[in-house]
Amino acid sequence: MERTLNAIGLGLLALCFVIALGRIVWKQSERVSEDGQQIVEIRLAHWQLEGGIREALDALAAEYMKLHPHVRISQIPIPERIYKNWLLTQLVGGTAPDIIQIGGMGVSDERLARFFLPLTETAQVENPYNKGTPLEGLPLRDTFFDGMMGGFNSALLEYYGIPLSAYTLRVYINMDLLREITGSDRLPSTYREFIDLCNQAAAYGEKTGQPVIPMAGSRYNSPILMVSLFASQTQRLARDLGPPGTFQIEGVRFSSSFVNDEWTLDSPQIHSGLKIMREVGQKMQPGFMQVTRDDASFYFMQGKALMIATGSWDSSSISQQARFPYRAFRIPLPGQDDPEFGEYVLGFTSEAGVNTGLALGVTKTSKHPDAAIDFLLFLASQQMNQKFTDISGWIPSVVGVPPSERTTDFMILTDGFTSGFTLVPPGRPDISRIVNNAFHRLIAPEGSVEEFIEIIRPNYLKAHATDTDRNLLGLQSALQRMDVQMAGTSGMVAADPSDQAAAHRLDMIIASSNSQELASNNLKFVAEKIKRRLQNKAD
Amino acid sequence: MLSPTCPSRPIAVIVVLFLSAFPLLGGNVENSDSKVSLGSAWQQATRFLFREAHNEFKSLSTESLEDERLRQLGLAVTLLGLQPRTQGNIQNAEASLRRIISENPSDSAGRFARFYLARLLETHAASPDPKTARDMYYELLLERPAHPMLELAAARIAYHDLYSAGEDPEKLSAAEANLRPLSELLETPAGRREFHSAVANSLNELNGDRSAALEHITIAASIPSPLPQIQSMNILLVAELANHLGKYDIAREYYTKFAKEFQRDSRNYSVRKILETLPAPSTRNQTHGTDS
Repeated sequence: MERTLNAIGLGLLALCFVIALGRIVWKQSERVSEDGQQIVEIRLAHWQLEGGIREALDALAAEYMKLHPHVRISQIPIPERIYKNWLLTQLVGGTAPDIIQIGGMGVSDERLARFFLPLTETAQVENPYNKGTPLEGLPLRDTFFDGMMGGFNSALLEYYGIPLSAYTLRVYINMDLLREITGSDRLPSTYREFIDLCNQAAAYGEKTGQPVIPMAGSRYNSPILMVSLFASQTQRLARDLGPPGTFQIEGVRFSSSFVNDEWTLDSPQIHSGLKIMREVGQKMQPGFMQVTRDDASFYFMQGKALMIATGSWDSSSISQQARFPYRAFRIPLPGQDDPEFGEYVLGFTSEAGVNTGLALGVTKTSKHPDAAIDFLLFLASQQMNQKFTDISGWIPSVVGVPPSERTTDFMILTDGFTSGFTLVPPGRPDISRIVNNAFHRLIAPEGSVEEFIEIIRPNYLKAHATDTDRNLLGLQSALQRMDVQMAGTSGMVAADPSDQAAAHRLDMIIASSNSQELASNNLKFVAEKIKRRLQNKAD
Repeated sequence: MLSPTCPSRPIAVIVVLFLSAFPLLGGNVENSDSKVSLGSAWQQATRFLFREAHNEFKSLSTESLEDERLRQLGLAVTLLGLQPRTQGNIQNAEASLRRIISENPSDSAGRFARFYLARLLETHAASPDPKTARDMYYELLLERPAHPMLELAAARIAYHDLYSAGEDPEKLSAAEANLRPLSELLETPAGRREFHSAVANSLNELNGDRSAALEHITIAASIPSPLPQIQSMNILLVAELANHLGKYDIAREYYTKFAKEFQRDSRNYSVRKILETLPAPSTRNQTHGTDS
């Protein structure tokens, strides 16, 4: 009996072994293409779940696989909500896909350096897939309209990504509804025309008994419009403030001009900016700041809202889901002849500084880095960028790629003045908290500009102080890191004086370090000034 | 035939066969035989991989005294970048740098150590000592190090002296006058560019003498910066200062240069509008028209 049981046991074990071995051999045979080459699998992860992008990438991957039958490309779309956590787990666990979308979303400078391959050498050589096009012979970086800055990391001073697109901000409008309301296809070109259209839409809703929201708002979409409109009111002021060479109030200049009393919360430009925000806020549905991006999009797609402000990235989703024709137009700023808001405006703001985006990087753990880079070069060729644009409806990143019919409204408009500033520039969390907490009093029908200002006034300077201190700490930490980086590059030059790339890099780090040092000294100076001012107030 | 008393033989055969199948799983064995050198260790540091760089410097064996001193320098400097930053690491870095300097302050490692010791006292130390750092930078410059990074010492002195003067016009002018001789000690284009840029920008930020600022920034702008955003700022600052001072020919030249070279800059259109309003080349009108 025991012998029989042993024999059965061993027999089962042998059977399992044979099955397992068979599966392995079968898997191995799957890894060989028809032409006998080893199959190369490339996985690409990104967070662009907007309609059209996955389809475009699939189409481009299919083209590539036709050219390279031994390569299998698959994409892994990851929702934005979990991208950061997912990415960190994959990178630290060593299981990251070969190609990953970079540019924020958890890809810090340190992670970029640790987990991604620098593509600086690739950027300096020709893209073989541009052969036969006007871009033949050009270094890869020069084939992008911005010199590939969307893939450049300014802290590491290296290229880490190959960008496929770019983004602009626009107001989308339902053309069927526009015709019904106005009897015309004419888009508003100034703020005054825009407000008139909003009023017409509201009146049309009342007349037909089917309310129309002139502008779909949400905590995501509304700031796009409101920030631009506020900034239009500080455009002239921003240009006139500060020492020569100042065109915009950004970075340390924001707090230094405030503490120097070059502008205050009582400046007419600030009042005017808040007034225009209040006016446009009242053209959105009530309670819009509690609403999500999806809800606002839903109002627009359902034809309940005439317009929505968002980025060019939403164009593909809207074109797939909306059952009406739509157009998009530049955010309508007041003209200089506007009777109410024209005094402080210079004109439309320039989009010349817009850089490329949707940059894809190659991970160090990729088993096939050469194939991954080759696929990215293929995507970045003029012909494939055209195809990407045609399918996705996104703006092209490559020089000489004409916009498709769907992208025309979103193309970058380079003529325009520099922008003004807002009460909450980027990187100011404490100021942002104070302003956002009081924001409802600016927008509410029973609220007012004056009431909003009185709410934020007591803490506004204090918030400048804490934000400036925080920014100074961040900058000093970046400088400390740069010190070691500079020593490293200097050491490389010393180890091989003929290394021209290292010498160029050292020159870049020296220039960058010196410019940061200036910014650090300015921040320190301003931080002390704000403290003195606060002290005087306390005394 | 299997023996009930000796089942180990067939099992051993199966285990061997089973294990022999592992290579077929296709796992890659990483090649750990990477070549470590001073150059590779420094390269790690350039990419923010400070721990790896530090460990490489630790494991390196050097053949010459010069390389050994550079290795010691690498160990000390990378301590400044290790995370988390600890006082222990900073103090160890300081002690190592002082040791390198005491052995020979004037060779390559010695000079770099002096620069980094000054930098440590200026920025990395828990209680910074900018005055001592300034003196150390100055001593280093007097030896004419002729190295672009070491010549950054001049820019650092400029920031120290000008920001110490603050917005007092007389003190600022005196500080600027004292800084002028430093330019004679600078031998590399990058060193000169960064020094003059530091003086010009500091004077401009602190509302100092605009003529002096124009003089300095013109020199800085004549030495191309490898970073386009900095080169564009230098050129624009020349134009703007010249415009404010009524030197319209210079202003026109540099505004035009900016408009031509930096077409993808959001200030380009504004600059073109300024150009349209500048007085004609032969006139000496004092207006500063920039409106559209």
